Amino acid sequence: MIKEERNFADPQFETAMIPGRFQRTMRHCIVWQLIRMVFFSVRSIGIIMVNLKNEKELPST
Amino acid sequence: MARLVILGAGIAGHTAATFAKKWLADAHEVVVISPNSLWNWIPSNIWVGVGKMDKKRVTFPLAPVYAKAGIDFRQAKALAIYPEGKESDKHPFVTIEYTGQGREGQTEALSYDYLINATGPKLNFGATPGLGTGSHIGPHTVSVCTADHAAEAHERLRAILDKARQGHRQKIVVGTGHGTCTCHGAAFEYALNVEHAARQAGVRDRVDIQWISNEPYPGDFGMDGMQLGIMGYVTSVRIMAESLFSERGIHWINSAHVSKVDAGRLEYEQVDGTTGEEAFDFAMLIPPFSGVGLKAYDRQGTEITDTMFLPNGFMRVDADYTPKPYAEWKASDWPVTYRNPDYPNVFAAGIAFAPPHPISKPRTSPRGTPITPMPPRTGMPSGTIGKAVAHSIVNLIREGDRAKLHTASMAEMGAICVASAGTGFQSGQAVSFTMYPLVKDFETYPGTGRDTKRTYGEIGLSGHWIKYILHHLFLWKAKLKPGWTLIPE
Repeated sequence: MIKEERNFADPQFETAMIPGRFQRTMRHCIVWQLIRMVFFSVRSIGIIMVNLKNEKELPST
Repeated sequence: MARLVILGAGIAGHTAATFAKKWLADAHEVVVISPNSLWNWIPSNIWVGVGKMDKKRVTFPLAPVYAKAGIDFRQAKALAIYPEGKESDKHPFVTIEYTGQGREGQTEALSYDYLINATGPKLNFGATPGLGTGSHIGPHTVSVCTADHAAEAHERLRAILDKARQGHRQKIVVGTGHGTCTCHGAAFEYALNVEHAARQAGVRDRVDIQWISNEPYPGDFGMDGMQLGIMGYVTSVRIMAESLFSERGIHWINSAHVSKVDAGRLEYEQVDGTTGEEAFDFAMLIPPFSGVGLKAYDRQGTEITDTMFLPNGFMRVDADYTPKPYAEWKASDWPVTYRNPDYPNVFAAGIAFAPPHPISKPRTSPRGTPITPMPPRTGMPSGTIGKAVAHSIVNLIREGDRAKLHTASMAEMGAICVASAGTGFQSGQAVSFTMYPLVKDFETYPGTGRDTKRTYGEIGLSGHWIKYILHHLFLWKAKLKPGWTLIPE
């Protein structure tokens, strides 16, 4: 049985996905992960910008 | 000169105090009341709990930072609020009892012009028999809610891993210790980190790890789950959370209210009425949260705690607290300015404000036990709310009734969350999420309640790097080191 099929041996795990060799390698590939970090940082800056944009001013009374 | 008093020096209170002082400078007084002498970057307690950091790396003394900033710091716990003052003196005040600074046990009445309640939660271990007494954890389980708790968790985890090394099979249970818990993210991170630690110790095959939670499914996180837009698909975070558990061989029990804890054994009740028990050698269970038990009195000395606070001890703010069924919940129920409706110079920020209702669908067992995850409002939302409240109060001090109040509704707020799944510069992993908005808004986003272009998650080594960078970044910011205001909440 290859690793990504292992979950089907357990009824609780059978709707889940277990990463195979390629996915596991990419999760720890330094170059790919540096790219992902830049990608996630850009997404995060987008969230921060939306929060700043959504901060409104209301009359106090 | 106006005096702003802030109860609490956690993420919300500290953010509010530091920004208020920066904006008000020496023209007005900012006073912080906290029973703790140390500031704690709580998200990194997970790493203390598995021995990857010590307590000193996630805490620092507050007094020198506040002294440098010109903030008056009183190491004390707040006892009661008198928002109308007394007959003899109508100036509002709070009563406090010192817990440090050589004045332990002394009480004092401290007047204020504006008050921010940012006390955070009471860790209500006493809500589950055997989990603890009041806010004190019992001997049977551990927690990662404070740095001291996390350090204790590490000591006991180390003993468990040593026993596993000696060939003894060990059972670890991680999750929530009551049907109304929140902060599932911390428990989720700890489960994954414990698994990582067991693997690194070479004893994973001798350690069984069990997840138990009041969530309806792994990944609900008290936010009714998330639907993530990933690589052209929209998928439930449930798939991601269950996959992370499956990959690591962690079994789960969901929809569970832990009803009793004994030495090495816990009992639980599920939302369908079934009951069960789990034996354990080591258990980390997050307690439910409640308000810290502040009292409130009117001018005549009559208790008005029920007016200012909900029964769970959290402070009423500008939310819609009208009881209504899940189908009628709206984003507009959530507070916007965090101002108390009866006392306009009183605000609440962070965990201390009372949410109008949960975000996840409320459920009750046939016996009537509520099994509903409560909404998280830690980290980024706490900081954002703290800053907005500080901004509002600064405007009120400067401009009086003409002032504008700043908004920070969780229904219009996005969040970034990085959940560690193990440490190591090359071997670590974390799940990185962005979501918008925090509170589902089905009127604006009828499909899933959130913007799936902005709600996203992935796992990888880069997540660990991000969490590690954030650890240093937020400690830098909290210590008010150069450029601290440029670091977002």
